[in-house]
Amino acid sequence: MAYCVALFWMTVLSRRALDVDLTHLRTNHADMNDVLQPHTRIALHNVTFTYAGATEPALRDVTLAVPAGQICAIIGRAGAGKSTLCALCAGFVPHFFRGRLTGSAIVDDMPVATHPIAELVRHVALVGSNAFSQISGARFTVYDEVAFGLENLGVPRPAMIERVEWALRALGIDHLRDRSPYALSGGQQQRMVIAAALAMNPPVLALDEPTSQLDPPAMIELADVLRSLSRQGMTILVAEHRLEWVADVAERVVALDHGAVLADGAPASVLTDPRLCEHGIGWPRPAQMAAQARAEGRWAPERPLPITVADLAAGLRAAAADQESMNGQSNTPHGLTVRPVAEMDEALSMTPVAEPVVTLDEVHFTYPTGVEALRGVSLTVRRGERIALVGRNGAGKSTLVRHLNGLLRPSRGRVLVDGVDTRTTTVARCARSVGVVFQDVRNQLFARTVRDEIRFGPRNLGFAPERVDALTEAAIDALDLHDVVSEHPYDLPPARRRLVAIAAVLAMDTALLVLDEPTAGLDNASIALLKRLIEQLTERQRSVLVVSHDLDFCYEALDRVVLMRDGRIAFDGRFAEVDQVQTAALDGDVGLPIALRLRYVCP
Amino acid sequence: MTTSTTSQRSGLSSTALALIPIAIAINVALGHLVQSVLKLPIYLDSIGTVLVGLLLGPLAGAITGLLSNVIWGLTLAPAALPFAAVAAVIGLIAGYAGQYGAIRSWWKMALAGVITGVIAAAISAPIATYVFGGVTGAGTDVLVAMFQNLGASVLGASFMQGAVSDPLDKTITYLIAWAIIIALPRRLLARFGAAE
Amino acid sequence: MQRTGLFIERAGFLQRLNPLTKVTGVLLLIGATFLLPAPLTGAALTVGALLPLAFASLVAHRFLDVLVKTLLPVLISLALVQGLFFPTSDPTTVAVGPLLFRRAGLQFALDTGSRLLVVAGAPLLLFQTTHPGALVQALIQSGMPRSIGYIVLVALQLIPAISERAVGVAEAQRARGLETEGSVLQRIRGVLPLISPLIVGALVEAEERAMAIEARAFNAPGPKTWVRDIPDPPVERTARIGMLAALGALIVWRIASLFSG
Ligand SMILES: Nc1ncnc2c1ncn2[C@@H]1O[C@H](COP(=O)(O)OP(=O)(O)OP(=O)(O)O)[C@@H](O)[C@H]1O
Ligand SMILES: Nc1ncnc2c1ncn2[C@@H]1O[C@H](COP(=O)(O)OP(=O)(O)OP(=O)(O)O)[C@@H](O)[C@H]1O
Ligand SMILES: [Mg+2]
Ligand SMILES: [Mg+2]
Repeated sequence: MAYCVALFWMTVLSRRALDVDLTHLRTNHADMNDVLQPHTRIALHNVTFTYAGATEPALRDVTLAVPAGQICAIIGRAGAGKSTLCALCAGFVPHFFRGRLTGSAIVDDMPVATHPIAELVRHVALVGSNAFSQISGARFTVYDEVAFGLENLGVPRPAMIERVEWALRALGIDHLRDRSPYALSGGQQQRMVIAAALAMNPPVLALDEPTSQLDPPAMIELADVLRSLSRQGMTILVAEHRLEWVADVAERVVALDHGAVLADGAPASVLTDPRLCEHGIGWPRPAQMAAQARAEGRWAPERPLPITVADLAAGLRAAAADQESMNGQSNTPHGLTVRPVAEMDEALSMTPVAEPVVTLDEVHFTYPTGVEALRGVSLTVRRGERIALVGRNGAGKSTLVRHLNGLLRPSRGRVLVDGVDTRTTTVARCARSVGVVFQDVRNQLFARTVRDEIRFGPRNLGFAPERVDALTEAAIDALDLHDVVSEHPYDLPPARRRLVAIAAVLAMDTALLVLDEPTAGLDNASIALLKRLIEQLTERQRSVLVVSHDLDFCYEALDRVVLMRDGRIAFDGRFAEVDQVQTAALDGDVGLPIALRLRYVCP
Repeated sequence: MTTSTTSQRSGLSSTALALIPIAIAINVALGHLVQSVLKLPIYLDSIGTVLVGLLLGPLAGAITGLLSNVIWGLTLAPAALPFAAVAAVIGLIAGYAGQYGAIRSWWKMALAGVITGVIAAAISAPIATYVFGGVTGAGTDVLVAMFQNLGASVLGASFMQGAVSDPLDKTITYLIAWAIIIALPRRLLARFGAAE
Repeated sequence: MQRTGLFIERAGFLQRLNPLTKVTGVLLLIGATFLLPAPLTGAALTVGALLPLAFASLVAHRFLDVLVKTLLPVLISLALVQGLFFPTSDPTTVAVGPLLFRRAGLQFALDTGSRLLVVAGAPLLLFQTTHPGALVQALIQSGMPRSIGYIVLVALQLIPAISERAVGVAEAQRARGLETEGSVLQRIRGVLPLISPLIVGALVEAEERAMAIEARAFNAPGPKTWVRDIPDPPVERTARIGMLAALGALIVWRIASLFSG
């Protein structure tokens, strides 16, 4: 029974160091491409591509040469062409997504236009941006799912098992090997699809927004894995919105704007290039904060802008030191440029006596598969609160969210929505006070146009026609959807689709709005949109609960933070008041927002 | 229009490979709902098959129908298994209807539905008779009893029963399929290559 | 529940056999019921073969449970429809309470019913004792097109998923205020608005899954390998040949007896 074989290998391999198997894994490519003397793996020359039926080209005259073993990050606003570029390097453009392609694209010495995906797949692996839709569906466990690609490539069993074991461990999903690929949390699924691609061990790897569902520690682990793979000679192309992560992992950054290359070079120079701000891509937070500090004279004018928190802290410290030496009085620990909202507008910070919207009381929940997702969660959401629900992948956040409007009902304990037990009422009733945008918005959209989609909710709630119209238009404004109101939701790019889903729920004008990973796959412009939206809601005494791995977003837009760990609440406090201990707890599980990091970790 | 590469063994595009299982699941889920839960004298168990036929052609349609009944027979209702041949033919016809461009108007779809229904009835009658003695445990058995009572042979009664319920069922199916396809987002129509 | 169709994880007799052996067995049994005289064969095979095997494989309880649930409606309407309305010249009838059954009709129902037991029971037992993944792998390794195997496996996992999705769409609609809990009529009317988003969503998913299939090299040329190994001892190979020979013999014998009179 191969399964025993697998177990045997597992035990053998688990004692091996990561890089050891890596070198081992690389060997079979050594013949295909000489790792020692790096030559160009991805060679794009004046590539222009226009999707069939599209008026504007998605890529304009792109020229790009990526040497073997380089980690090259692609950044850009929504619709800039990042995914198209990744798809092109893997041959999905033009073989799967049709359109007009001009110029030459050569990947691992294979002209993309003239070789079918079936051949290219031995040279380049692509991980698409939607983690939820890349499960082959033909395998019943995570382990077999990761092996699927290798079976199709005809890799001999022992080598296959070795690679699968390595990939499972590299992505930290070893313990999920026997789960059904469908019975996973968002982040766990994303880890699985990345593992499936890594296991195929291609010379060129194209990752489209690989971190959108990952928790911060997983992001760091992924960065390490990618670095060690590139040391082995793997060429890695990664499209990302999370500029802080890009700054951490990339050796080179290419900024796209409307399909054309805007900037190309070393992270330190590209990520602090003024043109990024001009074109709405923005800078990584350390650079932003340093720029602001410079404006306020707390950053040496000649000192280059930092892209990592460490450099930022060092620079601020140096500047502060100079100040002191000049005039004796020391200034506050580099007066933070970004403050928790609670500090900014005390007026808004809600009073604890505000009446509760939702109350969870010792809630337990076990999935049919026997996974104990919630193990006694008690939580109260009051009017006007802005709550960040954070925690590692699989902590139970989405499961908790599904309890907030009665979609799931507790196995033990109870959930009160507006004082009514969810077990005694219908989801439709809960929907009047709690609106939820799910992590996976796929089966949330069903109307034929964006406007109908947004009207659907308020109409069902039986509001007066004029109120329905008012709410619909307000939601369209809030999420800036004017240009697409009459499009079919599924004709929009994924990021925009998510905004439509948010608008559709927003239009129901509920007391509590719940957003599960709203920033996943959104560019800075859209994220700014969300921040403004949340502010407006609080002004109208609406509560917001956001599940997010983007701690900086949470810190800047929300004030109360709830940390989940293994189906329990590890702590529940306010950003403005977190102490050393809580900071440590946060840091250990999901990392810290930069502001807190500056205050506690590297002051 | 889809240009995804095709697998050597079966000539199915990866798009077909992805769509067919979903169509099968839709067939089974809906069919089971209608027949076992609602117990209506129609089946509605071939919407997926008809859709695939219309969108991807006869071969894909036939495979969808065939496998739908095989899987259904092996998971929920053994009664479905012997009728796999019928389902395959339904998919085949839908494929040709699509190539002929029935999509363009609702009445062509309705017509295709009637034709499909009659042919389906003709093929299923002998199977129903020889394997199941004319009955399937579904709501339609009432009709069989009625016709036999009017003096028809088992085979004759099975055919008449089919001739009554199949055209109706298939017409409804085609019309639903039509309503769905004309409402599809542009990108999907392009992907699945239906005639605009 | 795990999305593995009818399969029940037990360490019984049939579970240890190679799927192909079991498939051949199913063919032989079904062939026999149609080639040998009913109703005896059907009953005999059910009691003499299926049940003992079910017990030996530790699935007897679930086997009978499912078999009864799926066949009872067919058998009942078979008895009623054919028992009462079977077209026959034979006037003899059997009175059961107020009902007058026709003897020939009951005979016919009995024959068909006994056959159905095997026709439905044998595949059922196969699927309760064989993991679909293993079955498909075995079939592919012995020549079935991979794409067919792929379709079957995905569909098997999708059937519960799609039913859940139907629920999911309904829930999403409910989560946006649509009342779907109500009278039967309301719910039947609710079926149609359910179908369309269900299918559109499914089509979108199909496009994305198509990408996944390509990205996982499903269509890559060259030989394939399998991460799991399905043992196939010589004993079973000979057993399969034996069963096929038996089936062939039966067919020959049947044809011969047809001509002889
Ligand atoms: N399948 C498609 N058919 C037609 N147009 C498309 C398709 N996919 C993308 N486009 C268009 O091509 C342009 C580039 O899209 P692309 O997905 O590459 O942008 P992106 O940088 O990945 O955006 P995001 O940050 O939202 O992922 C956009 O205008 C988009 O609307
Ligand atoms: N449909 C399901 N069936 C069975 N188990 C599930 C299902 N969905 C999630 N789980 C499991 O329940 C636990 C909690 O999952 P949940 O989705 O709530 O995590 P999460 O905090 O949302 O993680 P992420 O940040 O990755 O979204 C995980 O161990 C996950 O594997
Ligand atoms: Mg993209
Ligand atoms: Mg989640």
